[in-house]
Amino acid sequence: MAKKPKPDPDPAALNYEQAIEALEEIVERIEGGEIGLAESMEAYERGVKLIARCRSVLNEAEQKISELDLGLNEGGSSAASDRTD
Amino acid sequence: MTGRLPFDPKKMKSTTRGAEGTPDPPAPRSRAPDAPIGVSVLCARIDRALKDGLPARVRVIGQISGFTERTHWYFQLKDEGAVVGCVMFASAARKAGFTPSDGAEVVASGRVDFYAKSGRVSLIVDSIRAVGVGALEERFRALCAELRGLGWFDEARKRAMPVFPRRIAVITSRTGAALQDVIATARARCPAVEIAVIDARVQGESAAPEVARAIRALSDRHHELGIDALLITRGGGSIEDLWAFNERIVAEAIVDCRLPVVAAIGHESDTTIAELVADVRCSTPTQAAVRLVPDREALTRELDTYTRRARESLRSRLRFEVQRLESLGKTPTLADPRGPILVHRDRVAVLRRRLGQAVEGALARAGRRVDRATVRLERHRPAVAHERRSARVGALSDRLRRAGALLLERSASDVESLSRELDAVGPGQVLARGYSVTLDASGRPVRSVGGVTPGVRVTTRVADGSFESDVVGGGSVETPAGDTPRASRGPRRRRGGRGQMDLFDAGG
Repeated sequence: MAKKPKPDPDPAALNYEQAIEALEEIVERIEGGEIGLAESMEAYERGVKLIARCRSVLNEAEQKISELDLGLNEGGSSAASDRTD
Repeated sequence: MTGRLPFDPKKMKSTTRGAEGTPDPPAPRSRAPDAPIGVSVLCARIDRALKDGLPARVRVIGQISGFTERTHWYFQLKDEGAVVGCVMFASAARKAGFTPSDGAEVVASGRVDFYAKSGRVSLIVDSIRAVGVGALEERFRALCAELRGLGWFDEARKRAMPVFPRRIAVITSRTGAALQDVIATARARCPAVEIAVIDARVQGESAAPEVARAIRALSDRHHELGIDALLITRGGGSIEDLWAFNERIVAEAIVDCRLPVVAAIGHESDTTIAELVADVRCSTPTQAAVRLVPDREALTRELDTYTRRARESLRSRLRFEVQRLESLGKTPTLADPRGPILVHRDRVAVLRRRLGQAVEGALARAGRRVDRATVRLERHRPAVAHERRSARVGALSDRLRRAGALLLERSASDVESLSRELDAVGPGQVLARGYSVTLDASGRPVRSVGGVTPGVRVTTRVADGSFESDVVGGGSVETPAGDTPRASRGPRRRRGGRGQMDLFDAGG
Protein backbone atom coordinates (compact mmCIF):
# COMPACT_ATOMS: atom_id res chain seq x y z
CA MET A 1 0.00 0.00 0.00
CA ALA A 2 2.79 2.37 0.84
CA LYS A 3 4.19 1.99 -2.66
CA LYS A 4 0.91 2.63 -4.39
CA PRO A 5 1.09 6.42 -4.51
CA LYS A 6 4.27 6.23 -6.57
CA PRO A 7 3.61 3.86 -9.39
CA ASP A 8 6.06 4.12 -12.24
CA PRO A 9 3.99 3.58 -15.34
CA ASP A 10 5.49 2.09 -18.44
CA PRO A 11 7.23 4.92 -20.33
CA ALA A 12 5.69 3.65 -23.55
CA ALA A 13 2.25 4.34 -22.09
CA LEU A 14 3.07 7.97 -21.38
CA ASN A 15 2.51 10.80 -23.76
CA TYR A 16 5.37 13.15 -24.45
CA GLU A 17 4.36 15.68 -21.85
CA GLN A 18 4.02 13.09 -19.09
CA ALA A 19 7.26 11.40 -20.11
CA ILE A 20 9.23 14.65 -20.10
CA GLU A 21 7.79 15.59 -16.71
CA ALA A 22 8.74 12.20 -15.27
CA LEU A 23 12.18 12.59 -16.80
CA GLU A 24 12.67 16.02 -15.30
CA GLU A 25 11.73 14.70 -11.88
CA ILE A 26 14.12 11.78 -12.21
CA VAL A 27 17.02 13.96 -13.29
CA GLU A 28 16.39 16.28 -10.37
CA ARG A 29 16.29 13.35 -7.99
CA ILE A 30 19.58 12.00 -9.24
CA GLU A 31 21.12 15.48 -9.12
CA GLY A 32 19.75 16.08 -5.67
CA GLY A 33 21.84 13.18 -4.38
CA GLU A 34 19.34 12.48 -1.66
CA ILE A 35 18.66 8.99 -2.86
CA GLY A 36 20.98 6.04 -2.51
CA LEU A 37 23.37 4.93 -5.21
CA ALA A 38 21.32 1.88 -6.10
CA GLU A 39 18.19 3.98 -6.30
CA SER A 40 20.04 6.55 -8.40
CA MET A 41 21.00 3.87 -10.85
CA GLU A 42 17.47 2.57 -11.00
CA ALA A 43 16.23 6.10 -11.59
CA TYR A 44 18.82 6.54 -14.31
CA GLU A 45 17.68 3.39 -16.02
CA ARG A 46 14.14 4.64 -15.96
CA GLY A 47 15.32 8.02 -17.21
CA VAL A 48 16.99 6.35 -20.16
CA LYS A 49 13.72 4.62 -21.00
CA LEU A 50 11.83 7.88 -20.75
CA ILE A 51 14.36 9.61 -22.97
CA ALA A 52 14.00 6.81 -25.51
CA ARG A 53 10.24 7.22 -25.32
CA CYS A 54 10.48 10.98 -25.93
CA ARG A 55 12.94 10.55 -28.75
CA SER A 56 10.76 8.01 -30.48
CA VAL A 57 7.89 10.50 -30.36
CA LEU A 58 10.06 13.31 -31.68
CA ASN A 59 11.55 11.18 -34.39
CA GLU A 60 8.16 10.36 -35.80
CA ALA A 61 8.73 11.41 -39.39
CA GLU A 62 5.32 10.90 -40.82
CA GLN A 63 2.83 13.64 -40.29
CA LYS A 64 -0.65 12.34 -39.58
CA ILE A 65 -3.42 14.44 -40.95
CA SER A 66 -7.00 13.31 -40.72
CA GLU A 67 -10.29 14.90 -41.35
CA LEU A 68 -12.84 14.59 -38.62
CA ASP A 69 -16.43 14.40 -39.58
CA LEU A 70 -18.26 15.36 -36.46
CA GLY A 71 -21.58 14.84 -38.19
CA LEU A 72 -22.59 18.41 -37.59
CA ASN A 73 -23.75 19.43 -41.01
CA GLU A 74 -27.41 18.91 -41.43
CA GLY A 75 -28.19 17.29 -44.74
CA GLY A 76 -24.62 16.14 -45.06
CA SER A 77 -23.79 18.99 -47.42
CA SER A 78 -20.12 18.49 -46.87
CA ALA A 79 -19.26 19.75 -50.31
CA ALA A 80 -20.74 23.16 -49.76
CA SER A 81 -19.35 25.53 -52.30
CA ASP A 82 -19.18 28.69 -50.25
CA ARG A 83 -16.07 27.61 -48.46
CA THR A 84 -13.55 30.22 -49.21
CA ASP A 85 -10.69 31.61 -47.44
CA MET B 1 -41.39 92.86 -46.53
CA THR B 2 -38.54 95.19 -46.02
CA GLY B 3 -37.50 94.33 -49.56
CA ARG B 4 -40.01 96.73 -50.80
CA LEU B 5 -38.63 99.68 -49.06
CA PRO B 6 -36.18 100.76 -51.75
CA PHE B 7 -38.94 100.96 -54.25
CA ASP B 8 -41.59 102.89 -52.52
CA PRO B 9 -41.26 103.74 -48.93
CA LYS B 10 -44.63 105.41 -48.94
CA LYS B 11 -46.25 102.44 -50.37
CA MET B 12 -44.49 100.41 -47.96
CA LYS B 13 -46.17 102.39 -45.28
CA SER B 14 -49.42 101.87 -47.05
CA THR B 15 -48.83 98.17 -47.09
CA THR B 16 -48.51 98.01 -43.35
CA ARG B 17 -51.20 96.21 -41.53
CA GLY B 18 -52.49 99.41 -40.14
CA ALA B 19 -52.71 100.86 -43.64
CA GLU B 20 -54.41 97.86 -45.11
CA GLY B 21 -57.65 99.59 -45.42
CA THR B 22 -56.21 102.50 -47.40
CA PRO B 23 -57.16 103.08 -51.03
CA ASP B 24 -55.15 101.47 -53.85
CA PRO B 25 -54.34 98.33 -52.01
CA PRO B 26 -54.27 96.12 -55.17
CA ALA B 27 -51.35 98.04 -56.66
CA PRO B 28 -48.50 95.93 -55.28
CA ARG B 29 -50.32 92.66 -55.86
CA SER B 30 -50.90 93.34 -59.45
CA ARG B 31 -47.23 94.06 -59.85
CA ALA B 32 -45.94 90.95 -57.96
CA PRO B 33 -45.47 88.29 -60.71
CA ASP B 34 -42.71 90.05 -62.54
CA ALA B 35 -41.45 92.36 -59.86
CA PRO B 36 -38.14 91.27 -58.40
CA ILE B 37 -38.18 90.11 -54.83
CA GLY B 38 -35.53 90.48 -52.26
CA VAL B 39 -33.09 87.68 -51.25
CA SER B 40 -34.58 87.61 -47.85
CA VAL B 41 -37.99 87.17 -49.37
CA LEU B 42 -36.65 84.40 -51.45
CA CYS B 43 -34.96 82.84 -48.55
CA ALA B 44 -38.05 83.11 -46.47
CA ARG B 45 -39.99 81.51 -49.24
CA ILE B 46 -37.38 78.74 -49.58
CA ASP B 47 -37.53 78.16 -45.91
CA ARG B 48 -41.30 78.01 -46.04
CA ALA B 49 -41.23 75.77 -49.07
CA LEU B 50 -38.80 73.37 -47.36
CA LYS B 51 -40.87 73.24 -44.26
CA ASP B 52 -44.06 72.77 -46.21
CA GLY B 53 -42.61 70.26 -48.64
CA LEU B 54 -40.74 68.00 -46.22
CA PRO B 55 -41.75 66.10 -43.15
CA ALA B 56 -40.63 67.58 -39.87
CA ARG B 57 -38.14 64.74 -39.48
CA VAL B 58 -36.32 62.92 -42.18
CA ARG B 59 -34.07 59.84 -42.09
CA VAL B 60 -31.28 60.00 -44.58
CA ILE B 61 -28.89 57.19 -45.45
CA GLY B 62 -25.55 58.15 -46.83
CA GLN B 63 -21.85 58.02 -46.46
CA ILE B 64 -20.08 60.40 -44.20
CA SER B 65 -17.43 62.67 -45.57
CA GLY B 66 -15.59 65.75 -44.38
CA PHE B 67 -16.25 64.87 -40.80
CA THR B 68 -14.98 67.49 -38.37
CA GLU B 69 -15.56 67.79 -34.72
CA ARG B 70 -15.54 71.30 -33.23
CA THR B 71 -17.79 71.15 -30.24
CA HIS B 72 -20.47 70.11 -32.71
CA TRP B 73 -20.06 67.63 -35.48
CA TYR B 74 -19.97 68.93 -39.02
CA PHE B 75 -20.01 66.56 -41.95
CA GLN B 76 -21.60 65.81 -45.25
CA LEU B 77 -23.75 62.92 -46.13
CA LYS B 78 -23.32 61.86 -49.66
CA ASP B 79 -24.19 59.22 -52.11
CA GLU B 80 -23.19 58.74 -55.71
CA GLY B 81 -24.80 61.90 -56.91
CA ALA B 82 -25.55 64.25 -54.05
CA VAL B 83 -24.20 65.82 -50.93
CA VAL B 84 -25.99 67.41 -48.03
CA GLY B 85 -24.35 69.26 -45.23
CA CYS B 86 -25.07 68.04 -41.75
CA VAL B 87 -24.70 69.46 -38.29
CA MET B 88 -24.98 67.43 -35.18
CA PHE B 89 -25.01 69.53 -32.09
CA ALA B 90 -22.87 68.42 -29.19
CA SER B 91 -25.84 67.44 -27.07
CA ALA B 92 -26.97 65.01 -29.78
CA ALA B 93 -23.47 63.90 -30.73
CA ARG B 94 -22.82 62.77 -27.19
CA LYS B 95 -25.69 60.34 -27.47
CA ALA B 96 -24.49 58.85 -30.76
CA GLY B 97 -22.55 56.06 -29.07
CA PHE B 98 -19.83 56.16 -31.68
CA THR B 99 -17.88 58.64 -33.63
CA PRO B 100 -18.47 58.24 -37.34
CA SER B 101 -15.56 58.39 -39.65
CA ASP B 102 -15.39 59.35 -43.30
CA GLY B 103 -16.76 56.70 -45.53
CA ALA B 104 -18.98 55.24 -42.86
CA GLU B 105 -22.46 54.40 -43.93
CA VAL B 106 -24.96 55.92 -41.61
CA VAL B 107 -28.57 56.71 -41.22
CA ALA B 108 -28.96 60.26 -39.94
CA SER B 109 -32.27 61.49 -38.53
CA GLY B 110 -33.24 65.10 -38.04
CA ARG B 111 -34.87 68.09 -39.65
CA VAL B 112 -33.94 70.01 -42.74
CA ASP B 113 -33.04 73.58 -42.05
CA PHE B 114 -32.38 76.46 -44.37
CA TYR B 115 -29.94 78.85 -42.84
CA ALA B 116 -30.61 82.19 -44.51
CA LYS B 117 -27.42 83.88 -43.41
CA SER B 118 -25.28 81.40 -45.32
CA GLY B 119 -27.96 80.37 -47.75
CA ARG B 120 -27.36 76.76 -47.01
CA VAL B 121 -29.64 73.87 -46.50
CA SER B 122 -28.46 71.64 -43.69
CA LEU B 123 -29.63 68.51 -42.03
CA ILE B 124 -29.78 69.12 -38.31
CA VAL B 125 -29.05 65.60 -37.13
CA ASP B 126 -30.36 64.56 -33.76
CA SER B 127 -29.51 60.88 -34.01
CA ILE B 128 -27.21 58.80 -36.09
CA ARG B 129 -26.55 55.10 -36.44
CA ALA B 130 -24.20 53.10 -38.54
CA VAL B 131 -25.36 50.77 -41.23
CA GLY B 132 -23.50 48.21 -43.34
CA VAL B 133 -19.88 47.93 -42.30
CA GLY B 134 -20.48 50.75 -39.96
CA ALA B 135 -23.27 48.79 -38.38
CA LEU B 136 -20.97 45.79 -38.08
CA GLU B 137 -18.33 47.87 -36.44
CA GLU B 138 -20.91 49.23 -34.12
CA ARG B 139 -22.12 45.76 -33.22
CA PHE B 140 -18.55 44.67 -32.76
CA ARG B 141 -17.95 47.46 -30.28
CA ALA B 142 -21.15 46.79 -28.44
CA LEU B 143 -20.42 43.06 -28.16
CA CYS B 144 -16.86 43.80 -27.10
CA ALA B 145 -18.13 46.01 -24.33
CA GLU B 146 -20.61 43.40 -23.21
CA LEU B 147 -18.18 40.47 -23.27
CA ARG B 148 -15.48 42.48 -21.57
CA GLY B 149 -18.04 43.20 -18.89
CA LEU B 150 -18.67 39.47 -18.57
CA GLY B 151 -14.96 38.92 -18.09
CA TRP B 152 -14.63 36.78 -21.20
CA PHE B 153 -11.49 38.60 -22.28
CA ASP B 154 -9.79 38.25 -18.91
CA GLU B 155 -6.38 36.70 -19.13
CA ALA B 156 -7.00 34.97 -15.81
CA ARG B 157 -9.80 32.96 -17.39
CA LYS B 158 -7.61 31.63 -20.13
CA ARG B 159 -6.32 28.08 -20.29
CA ALA B 160 -2.69 27.11 -20.65
CA MET B 161 -1.48 25.60 -23.87
CA PRO B 162 -0.28 22.01 -23.83
CA VAL B 163 3.48 21.65 -24.05
CA PHE B 164 3.19 18.80 -26.48
CA PRO B 165 -0.29 18.27 -27.91
CA ARG B 166 -0.81 14.81 -29.31
CA ARG B 167 -3.46 15.95 -31.73
CA ILE B 168 -4.62 19.40 -32.71
CA ALA B 169 -8.08 19.94 -34.10
CA VAL B 170 -8.20 22.65 -36.73
CA ILE B 171 -11.54 24.19 -37.47
CA THR B 172 -11.24 25.85 -40.83
CA SER B 173 -12.17 25.53 -44.45
CA ARG B 174 -10.77 22.38 -45.97
CA THR B 175 -9.91 24.26 -49.13
CA GLY B 176 -8.45 27.33 -47.55
CA ALA B 177 -4.84 28.45 -47.71
CA ALA B 178 -4.94 28.79 -43.93
CA LEU B 179 -5.10 25.01 -43.53
CA GLN B 180 -2.17 24.52 -45.87
CA ASP B 181 -0.14 27.01 -43.85
CA VAL B 182 -1.00 25.19 -40.64
CA ILE B 183 -0.12 21.77 -42.04
CA ALA B 184 3.15 22.90 -43.57
CA THR B 185 4.24 24.67 -40.41
CA ALA B 186 3.28 21.74 -38.20
CA ARG B 187 5.17 19.31 -40.41
CA ALA B 188 8.25 21.48 -40.33
CA ARG B 189 8.17 21.83 -36.58
CA CYS B 190 7.14 18.39 -35.42
CA PRO B 191 5.47 15.78 -37.60
CA ALA B 192 4.58 13.76 -34.51
CA VAL B 193 1.80 16.16 -33.70
CA GLU B 194 -1.34 15.00 -35.43
CA ILE B 195 -3.61 17.38 -37.23
CA ALA B 196 -7.33 16.70 -37.32
CA VAL B 197 -9.18 18.93 -39.71
CA ILE B 198 -12.77 19.86 -39.11
CA ASP B 199 -14.06 21.34 -42.29
CA ALA B 200 -16.36 24.27 -41.66
CA ARG B 201 -17.72 27.23 -43.46
CA VAL B 202 -15.76 30.24 -42.38
CA GLN B 203 -17.90 32.92 -43.93
CA GLY B 204 -21.47 33.52 -44.77
CA GLU B 205 -24.65 33.27 -42.80
CA SER B 206 -24.16 29.68 -41.68
CA ALA B 207 -20.52 30.03 -40.75
CA ALA B 208 -20.99 31.20 -37.16
CA PRO B 209 -23.39 28.44 -36.08
CA GLU B 210 -21.33 25.83 -37.89
CA VAL B 211 -18.10 26.89 -36.26
CA ALA B 212 -19.83 27.08 -32.88
CA ARG B 213 -21.23 23.56 -33.26
CA ALA B 214 -17.84 22.22 -34.24
CA ILE B 215 -16.24 23.82 -31.18
CA ARG B 216 -18.88 22.35 -28.87
CA ALA B 217 -18.66 18.92 -30.45
CA LEU B 218 -14.87 18.87 -30.06
CA SER B 219 -15.12 20.09 -26.51
CA ASP B 220 -17.49 17.23 -25.71
CA ARG B 221 -15.49 14.57 -27.48
CA HIS B 222 -11.89 15.66 -27.09
CA HIS B 223 -11.05 12.76 -24.77
CA GLU B 224 -12.45 10.21 -27.13
CA LEU B 225 -10.76 11.88 -30.07
CA GLY B 226 -7.45 12.37 -28.27
CA ILE B 227 -7.40 16.07 -28.98
CA ASP B 228 -5.33 18.36 -26.77
CA ALA B 229 -5.86 21.73 -28.39
CA LEU B 230 -8.12 23.50 -30.81
CA LEU B 231 -7.18 25.92 -33.53
CA ILE B 232 -9.81 28.08 -35.20
CA THR B 233 -8.47 29.83 -38.23
CA ARG B 234 -9.16 31.39 -41.55
CA GLY B 235 -7.31 33.71 -43.91
CA GLY B 236 -7.79 37.40 -44.42
CA GLY B 237 -10.89 39.08 -45.78
CA SER B 238 -13.22 42.00 -45.40
CA ILE B 239 -14.95 42.70 -42.16
CA GLU B 240 -18.06 41.10 -43.61
CA ASP B 241 -16.05 38.01 -44.58
CA LEU B 242 -14.70 37.65 -41.08
CA TRP B 243 -17.96 38.49 -39.45
CA ALA B 244 -18.83 34.97 -38.33
CA PHE B 245 -15.98 35.20 -35.83
CA ASN B 246 -17.54 38.27 -34.27
CA GLU B 247 -20.77 36.49 -33.49
CA ARG B 248 -21.71 35.88 -29.92
CA ILE B 249 -22.52 32.23 -30.61
CA VAL B 250 -18.90 31.54 -31.57
CA ALA B 251 -17.52 33.49 -28.63
CA GLU B 252 -19.75 31.56 -26.27
CA ALA B 253 -18.66 28.21 -27.68
CA ILE B 254 -15.01 29.19 -27.26
CA VAL B 255 -15.51 30.30 -23.69
CA ASP B 256 -17.36 27.08 -22.85
CA CYS B 257 -14.77 24.89 -24.59
CA ARG B 258 -12.86 22.55 -22.33
CA LEU B 259 -9.92 22.49 -24.71
CA PRO B 260 -7.40 25.29 -24.95
CA VAL B 261 -8.31 27.36 -28.00
CA VAL B 262 -6.04 29.27 -30.34
CA ALA B 263 -7.68 31.64 -32.82
CA ALA B 264 -6.08 33.20 -35.85
CA ILE B 265 -8.64 35.00 -37.99
CA GLY B 266 -7.79 37.17 -40.94
CA HIS B 267 -4.75 39.35 -41.17
CA GLU B 268 -2.71 40.78 -38.37
CA SER B 269 -4.67 44.03 -38.44
CA ASP B 270 -8.00 42.30 -37.99
CA THR B 271 -9.29 41.63 -34.56
CA THR B 272 -12.30 39.45 -34.01
CA ILE B 273 -14.27 38.60 -30.91
CA ALA B 274 -13.27 34.95 -31.35
CA GLU B 275 -9.64 35.96 -31.03
CA LEU B 276 -10.35 38.10 -28.00
CA VAL B 277 -12.02 35.27 -26.12
CA ALA B 278 -9.61 32.55 -27.31
CA ASP B 279 -6.90 31.47 -24.91
CA VAL B 280 -4.25 32.51 -27.38
CA ARG B 281 -4.64 34.91 -30.27
CA CYS B 282 -2.35 34.60 -33.22
CA SER B 283 -2.16 36.98 -36.12
CA THR B 284 -1.89 34.33 -38.84
CA PRO B 285 -2.53 30.60 -39.30
CA THR B 286 1.21 30.03 -39.55
CA GLN B 287 1.85 31.80 -36.31
CA ALA B 288 -0.90 29.74 -34.68
CA ALA B 289 0.75 26.52 -35.82
CA VAL B 290 4.05 27.74 -34.44
CA ARG B 291 2.38 28.49 -31.16
CA LEU B 292 0.73 25.08 -30.92
CA VAL B 293 3.21 22.67 -32.44
CA PRO B 294 6.39 22.30 -30.45
CA ASP B 295 9.67 22.68 -32.24
CA ARG B 296 11.26 19.29 -32.58
CA GLU B 297 14.73 20.78 -32.69
CA ALA B 298 14.19 22.60 -29.44
CA LEU B 299 12.69 19.53 -27.80
CA THR B 300 15.55 17.38 -29.02
CA ARG B 301 17.96 19.85 -27.49
CA GLU B 302 15.99 19.75 -24.27
CA LEU B 303 16.11 15.95 -24.28
CA ASP B 304 19.84 16.07 -24.94
CA THR B 305 20.19 18.32 -21.93
CA TYR B 306 18.23 15.93 -19.76
CA THR B 307 20.25 13.00 -21.06
CA ARG B 308 23.46 14.83 -20.29
CA ARG B 309 22.28 15.93 -16.88
CA ALA B 310 21.14 12.44 -15.93
CA ARG B 311 24.37 10.89 -17.18
CA GLU B 312 26.57 13.54 -15.60
CA SER B 313 24.84 13.44 -12.28
CA LEU B 314 24.96 9.68 -12.13
CA ARG B 315 28.57 9.71 -13.23
CA SER B 316 29.53 12.25 -10.60
CA ARG B 317 27.60 10.25 -8.08
CA LEU B 318 29.57 7.17 -9.03
CA ARG B 319 32.82 9.16 -8.91
CA PHE B 320 31.89 10.36 -5.49
CA GLU B 321 31.16 6.85 -4.31
CA VAL B 322 34.43 5.57 -5.79
CA GLN B 323 36.34 8.34 -4.08
CA ARG B 324 34.62 7.57 -0.87
CA LEU B 325 35.57 3.95 -1.30
CA GLU B 326 39.15 4.90 -2.13
CA SER B 327 39.48 7.20 0.81
CA LEU B 328 38.14 4.44 2.97
CA GLY B 329 40.72 2.18 1.36
CA LYS B 330 43.45 4.61 2.37
CA THR B 331 42.57 4.44 6.00
CA PRO B 332 45.15 2.31 7.90
CA THR B 333 42.49 -0.23 8.53
CA LEU B 334 41.98 -1.06 4.89
CA ALA B 335 45.33 0.01 3.46
CA ASP B 336 47.33 -2.70 5.30
CA PRO B 337 45.47 -5.94 5.55
CA ARG B 338 47.45 -6.84 8.60
CA GLY B 339 46.67 -3.50 10.08
CA PRO B 340 43.20 -4.38 11.02
CA ILE B 341 44.35 -7.72 12.29
CA LEU B 342 46.95 -6.07 14.48
CA VAL B 343 44.55 -3.45 15.51
CA HIS B 344 42.06 -6.10 16.18
CA ARG B 345 44.58 -8.18 17.98
CA ASP B 346 45.38 -5.22 20.17
CA ARG B 347 41.83 -4.53 20.61
CA VAL B 348 41.20 -8.16 21.29
CA ALA B 349 43.97 -8.17 23.83
CA VAL B 350 42.64 -5.09 25.49
CA LEU B 351 39.21 -6.46 25.33
CA ARG B 352 40.35 -9.77 26.59
CA ARG B 353 42.01 -8.06 29.52
CA ARG B 354 39.01 -6.01 30.14
CA LEU B 355 36.86 -9.00 29.62
CA GLY B 356 39.04 -11.00 31.99
CA GLN B 357 38.71 -8.31 34.58
CA ALA B 358 35.12 -8.03 33.97
CA VAL B 359 34.69 -11.75 34.01
CA GLU B 360 36.74 -12.03 37.12
CA GLY B 361 34.76 -9.40 38.79
CA ALA B 362 31.63 -10.92 37.57
CA LEU B 363 32.85 -14.35 38.51
CA ALA B 364 33.82 -13.15 41.89
CA ARG B 365 30.49 -11.56 42.34
CA ALA B 366 28.81 -14.53 40.85
CA GLY B 367 31.02 -16.82 42.86
CA ARG B 368 30.04 -15.07 45.99
CA ARG B 369 26.49 -15.33 45.01
CA VAL B 370 27.00 -18.92 43.94
CA ASP B 371 28.72 -19.60 47.18
CA ARG B 372 25.89 -18.11 49.06
CA ALA B 373 23.45 -19.89 46.90
CA THR B 374 25.47 -23.09 47.03
CA VAL B 375 25.72 -22.91 50.69
CA ARG B 376 22.04 -22.45 50.87
CA LEU B 377 21.46 -24.99 48.18
CA GLU B 378 23.85 -27.55 49.46
CA ARG B 379 22.04 -27.72 52.66
CA HIS B 380 19.35 -29.31 50.69
CA ARG B 381 21.55 -31.79 48.79
CA PRO B 382 22.14 -35.10 50.60
CA ALA B 383 25.49 -35.81 48.99
CA VAL B 384 26.65 -32.36 49.76
CA ALA B 385 25.05 -32.51 53.09
CA HIS B 386 27.22 -35.49 53.74
CA GLU B 387 30.26 -33.62 52.49
CA ARG B 388 29.23 -30.68 54.52
CA ARG B 389 28.88 -32.89 57.49
CA SER B 390 32.23 -34.46 56.89
CA ALA B 391 33.63 -31.01 56.36
CA ARG B 392 32.03 -30.01 59.49
CA VAL B 393 33.48 -33.03 61.10
CA GLY B 394 36.82 -32.05 59.66
CA ALA B 395 36.35 -28.53 60.84
CA LEU B 396 35.27 -29.75 64.13
CA SER B 397 38.20 -32.07 64.33
CA ASP B 398 40.39 -29.16 63.42
CA ARG B 399 38.78 -27.12 66.05
CA LEU B 400 39.07 -29.99 68.36
CA ARG B 401 42.67 -30.36 67.47
CA ARG B 402 43.25 -26.72 68.00
CA ALA B 403 41.26 -26.88 71.10
CA GLY B 404 43.30 -29.92 72.07
CA ALA B 405 46.53 -28.10 71.41
CA LEU B 406 45.26 -25.22 73.37
CA LEU B 407 44.14 -27.51 76.03
CA LEU B 408 47.48 -29.16 76.09
CA GLU B 409 49.16 -25.87 76.43
CA ARG B 410 46.75 -24.87 78.97
CA SER B 411 47.02 -28.24 80.76
CA ALA B 412 50.75 -27.94 80.90
CA SER B 413 50.45 -24.88 82.98
CA ASP B 414 47.57 -26.44 84.80
CA VAL B 415 49.77 -29.40 85.57
CA GLU B 416 52.40 -27.13 86.90
CA SER B 417 50.03 -25.28 89.13
CA LEU B 418 48.39 -28.50 90.01
CA SER B 419 51.67 -30.09 90.76
CA ARG B 420 52.56 -27.15 92.83
CA GLU B 421 49.30 -27.49 94.55
CA LEU B 422 49.77 -31.15 94.88
CA ASP B 423 53.32 -30.64 95.95
CA ALA B 424 52.01 -28.76 98.86
CA VAL B 425 50.10 -31.75 99.95
CA GLY B 426 51.92 -34.43 97.92
CA PRO B 427 54.90 -36.66 98.30
CA GLY B 428 57.28 -33.73 98.21
CA GLN B 429 55.94 -32.48 101.42
CA VAL B 430 55.76 -36.02 102.68
CA LEU B 431 59.37 -36.44 101.77
CA ALA B 432 60.13 -33.11 103.29
CA ARG B 433 58.69 -34.39 106.43
CA GLY B 434 61.33 -37.15 106.35
CA TYR B 435 59.78 -39.89 104.41
CA SER B 436 61.53 -41.37 101.43
CA VAL B 437 60.60 -43.46 98.46
CA THR B 438 62.69 -46.24 97.19
CA LEU B 439 62.54 -47.06 93.56
CA ASP B 440 63.75 -50.23 91.95
CA ALA B 441 65.93 -50.34 88.88
CA SER B 442 62.95 -49.75 86.67
CA GLY B 443 61.86 -46.82 88.71
CA ARG B 444 58.99 -48.50 90.44
CA PRO B 445 58.50 -47.78 94.05
CA VAL B 446 59.45 -50.64 96.14
CA ARG B 447 56.42 -51.43 98.15
CA SER B 448 57.51 -54.54 99.93
CA VAL B 449 60.58 -56.30 100.86
CA GLY B 450 59.73 -58.87 98.39
CA GLY B 451 60.26 -56.24 95.76
CA VAL B 452 63.98 -56.28 96.19
CA THR B 453 66.58 -58.85 96.48
CA PRO B 454 70.04 -58.42 97.89
CA GLY B 455 72.48 -57.01 95.52
CA VAL B 456 69.94 -54.93 93.74
CA ARG B 457 70.62 -51.29 93.46
CA VAL B 458 67.79 -49.08 94.43
CA THR B 459 67.29 -45.41 94.38
CA THR B 460 65.93 -43.60 97.28
CA ARG B 461 64.34 -40.34 96.96
CA VAL B 462 64.28 -37.92 99.71
CA ALA B 463 63.01 -34.42 99.95
CA ASP B 464 65.99 -32.72 98.44
CA GLY B 465 67.24 -35.42 96.12
CA SER B 466 67.98 -39.07 95.84
CA PHE B 467 70.72 -41.49 96.47
CA GLU B 468 71.45 -44.94 95.37
CA SER B 469 72.08 -47.83 97.57
CA ASP B 470 72.63 -51.61 97.18
CA VAL B 471 70.32 -53.94 98.91
CA VAL B 472 72.31 -56.06 101.21
CA GLY B 473 69.56 -57.88 102.99
CA GLY B 474 66.07 -57.54 104.20
CA GLY B 475 63.22 -59.17 105.99
CA SER B 476 59.78 -58.39 107.23
CA VAL B 477 59.52 -55.50 109.54
CA GLU B 478 57.63 -56.12 112.74
CA THR B 479 57.25 -52.61 113.51
CA PRO B 480 53.89 -51.09 113.05
CA ALA B 481 52.95 -49.53 109.89
CA GLY B 482 53.99 -46.13 111.15
CA ASP B 483 57.58 -46.96 110.34
CA THR B 484 57.01 -47.22 106.63
CA PRO B 485 55.47 -44.82 104.34
CA ARG B 486 53.18 -47.58 103.21
CA ALA B 487 51.91 -47.96 106.67
CA SER B 488 50.90 -44.35 106.92
CA ARG B 489 47.67 -43.23 108.40
CA GLY B 490 44.13 -44.15 107.52
CA PRO B 491 42.45 -45.09 104.36
CA ARG B 492 42.30 -41.50 103.13
CA ARG B 493 45.98 -41.28 103.22
CA ARG B 494 46.35 -44.44 101.42
CA ARG B 495 44.05 -43.29 98.81
CA GLY B 496 45.83 -40.07 98.59
CA GLY B 497 49.14 -41.80 98.45
CA ARG B 498 47.92 -43.92 95.62
CA GLY B 499 46.86 -40.81 93.81
CA GLN B 500 50.26 -39.37 94.27
CA MET B 501 51.75 -42.31 92.69
CA ASP B 502 49.50 -42.09 89.73
CA LEU B 503 50.35 -38.53 89.32
CA PHE B 504 53.98 -39.24 89.46
CA ASP B 505 53.44 -41.83 86.84
CA ALA B 506 51.65 -39.53 84.68
CA GLY B 507 54.16 -36.79 85.15
CA GLY B 508 57.14 -39.10 84.64
